[in-house]
Amino acid sequence: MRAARALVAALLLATLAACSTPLPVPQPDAVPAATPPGLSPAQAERVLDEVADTLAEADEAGDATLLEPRVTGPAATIRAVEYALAAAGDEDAVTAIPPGAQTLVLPTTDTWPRTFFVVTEPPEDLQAPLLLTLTQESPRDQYRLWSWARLFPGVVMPATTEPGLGSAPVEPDSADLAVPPEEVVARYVDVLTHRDESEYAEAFTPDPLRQGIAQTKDAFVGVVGQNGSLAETYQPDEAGTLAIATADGGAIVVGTVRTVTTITLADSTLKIADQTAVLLGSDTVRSTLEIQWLSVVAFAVPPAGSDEPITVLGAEHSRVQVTGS
Amino acid sequence: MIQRALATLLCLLGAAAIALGVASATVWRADDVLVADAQAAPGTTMVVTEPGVLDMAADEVTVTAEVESGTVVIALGRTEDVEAWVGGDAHTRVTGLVDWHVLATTEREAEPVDEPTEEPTEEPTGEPTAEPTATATPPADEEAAEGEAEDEAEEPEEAGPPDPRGSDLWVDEVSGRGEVSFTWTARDGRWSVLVAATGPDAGPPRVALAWPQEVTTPWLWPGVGVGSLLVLLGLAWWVLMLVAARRARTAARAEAPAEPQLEPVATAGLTRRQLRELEAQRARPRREHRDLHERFPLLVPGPRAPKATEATAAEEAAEATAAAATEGADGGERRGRRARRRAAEEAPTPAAPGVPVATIPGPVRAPEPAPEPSPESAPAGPGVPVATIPGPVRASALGAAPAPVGAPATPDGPGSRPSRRARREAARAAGAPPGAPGAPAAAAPADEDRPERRRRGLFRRRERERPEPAPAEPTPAPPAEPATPPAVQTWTPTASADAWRRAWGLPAPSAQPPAPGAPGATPGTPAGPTTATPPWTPTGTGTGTPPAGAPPAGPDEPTPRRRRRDDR
Repeated sequence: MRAARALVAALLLATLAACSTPLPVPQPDAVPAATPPGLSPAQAERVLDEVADTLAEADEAGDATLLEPRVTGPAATIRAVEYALAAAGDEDAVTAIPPGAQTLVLPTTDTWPRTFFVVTEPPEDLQAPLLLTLTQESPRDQYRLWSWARLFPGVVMPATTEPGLGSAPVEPDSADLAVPPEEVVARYVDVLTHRDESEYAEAFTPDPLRQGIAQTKDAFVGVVGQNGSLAETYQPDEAGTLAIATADGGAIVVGTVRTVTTITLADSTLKIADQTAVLLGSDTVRSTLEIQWLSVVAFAVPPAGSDEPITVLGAEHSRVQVTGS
Repeated sequence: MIQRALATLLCLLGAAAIALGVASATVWRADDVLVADAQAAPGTTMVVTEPGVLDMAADEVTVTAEVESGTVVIALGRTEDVEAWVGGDAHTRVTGLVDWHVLATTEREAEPVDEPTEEPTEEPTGEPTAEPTATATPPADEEAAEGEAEDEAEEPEEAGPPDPRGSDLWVDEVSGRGEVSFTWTARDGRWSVLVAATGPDAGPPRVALAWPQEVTTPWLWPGVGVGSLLVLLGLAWWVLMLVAARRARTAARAEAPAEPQLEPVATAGLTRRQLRELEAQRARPRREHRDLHERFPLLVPGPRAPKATEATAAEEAAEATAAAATEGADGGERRGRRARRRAAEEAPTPAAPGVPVATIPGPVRAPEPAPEPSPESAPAGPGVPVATIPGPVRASALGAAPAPVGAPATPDGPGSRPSRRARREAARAAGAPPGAPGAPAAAAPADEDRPERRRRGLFRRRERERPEPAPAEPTPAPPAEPATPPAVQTWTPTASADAWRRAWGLPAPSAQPPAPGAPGATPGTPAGPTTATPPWTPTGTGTGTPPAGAPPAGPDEPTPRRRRRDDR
């Protein structure tokens, strides 16, 4: 009996010794129910640094082609114009883009394209901070600066989720918003076009961009006067819109508007100056002048069901093309 | 026997457990670092670890990537990002461990890409194992294909194997020529590593994952502890068994002190040499015991004590024969035993009839011869010895035994073959009265020997006072039992009378049974007669007594021996 027990014990011991540790097996974390941010804050900072490096390099060279790796879309277009203006002697033409980020709005996504928004530190010139958008078209592409917009004075950025948690990207036709992103731009264009008579005039809070565009147009009209005619059209730009959700379920929507100002002179000349002249390459217009503006507009769109008006957070409005004779 | 085997088995198991425990901490001890590696499948330049692989064996992992030529990149990213980056390209996936040193891998073939160009689309698809040639030199083919494609201006920017360096997707990355390594500490989420060989001549990279292991030896102390316990148990068991065995032997010896006394009687029928041997044999045990006692006063005497040899020479010179001295204790013992056995064997045959007589102690025996001459003398004979040897029963027996034996011999002289000495002694003792030599003979020798015997008797007594028995051999024990009754008889009037009566062939059977007469048993004297008497009995008293005593004595003798054998 005793011997049997001893035997069993010994066998047990031997067996256990022989078994030792089992081979480790991968035990991956489950795919999280909530998609994590497509990039971490650290990655975003790194991206911003690289963008800043690229910008600095291109700014110094004044060569828009150097922007290609890290700047795209409206930003690349506008930057190229700025370089041209700078080359013409306009020292303030190039918009300073602060490399530091004040707020990161990172997307929770595992698909492409991916977008993240950044509110920069206030620039050194004490101007308003910028709202940057960066996009990544495909996994093997890099994030590139797509646009920047100067935040209007006194604007309060809608609260966004912690960058560590990430914010949901919003599709251009998303129904989660009071107004789908695409529609926001269209309505804003309508407001620009029809001003206060637009049915959407009340849907947007008054903003400096709208005023500025109107004033500019009025000024041109005044200049042209009886000597010709002026027509201005507004279109959502083909660059499209980007949107990312805010904490309240709304979204920050960044859209582009292309403004085309056409001046037709009747038997007279028009003296133009500064940037337009530089872009045109001449300071005198004899018959026609066409100015294309590219506007990047950032909206804070309330969530679906809200009656709140859409706030225009900021904008960048630049001449991108001037033709005429 | 089984117990011994089990005890031994316990010890062995204990030793085995200790060995296993130690081995688990030495030979079988796991490595401090678990390193497993794998080679990317031919034709792939990328290796991807599946989620969970990186931290499957430890929270910290060191990834080492190696390529024969060119640059190798290790990039860490979220599994989804890594997989998205790799996309449909052919690559090798690390899925786990095959064994402690090899990573399990699977090969993913390139997925067809929706490209307008034929070349690139075909190439990746065909590349997988379908065509051996393609598989053999995939990078080159791919390159060539892509080169062509680029020429056609249709292929996207990729030239050569995909280069993951610098992607915003990576949380961390390392690259270098030949070999690079990268250490990562596990964190929440699903993480993967992408190892890619880059450059125009990139080949399949080799990937090794190394996890520092917290090596524990959980079986060392349990094994050693349990093993030690088992060994101790086994040893303890053994000790117990040995002690028990020794005690048993001792006890057996204690019960059979008679043996030595038997011998003298036996001498009667033996040659001189046998006599000597027997004497030596008889002497030996005493010597041994004394030695042992000197050394281990508390211990029971051992079965054999080689030192006896010295003692033999010194102490027993008188008694010990040349044989004993030269042959040493063992030889002597063996011989003695043999002799005894021989004697016993010889004796019984003739003894059969005489045995009954033998059972009767020395004193009683005296009467045996008496019958012929005069019944009166007989009583006198027994009386004398008894008187002479009052205290030291055994001593008396000793002294008496040889004498009586001798005594009866004389009368039987003609027919018997007792030792010359015995006969001489007997003759001397007997003196004039040839008719009734028994009585005087018995008495005389006893007296003669008394001084010496006494001394011996004292030793005996001392020895007896200690629990041990004087005799070395258990052999005598059995004969002693049958003998006891006679011994008792010696002391008790009734017994003596009974013996006497029996000697005369009167009520023998009734008297014999009283074997339990323990006190008397010790002397053992009776035993002697059993073996010894035979020679006499037939010739002497034999005729008269045999019928009565023979049956009990005869059977008794064999049984004890058998028992003894069993004991061993």
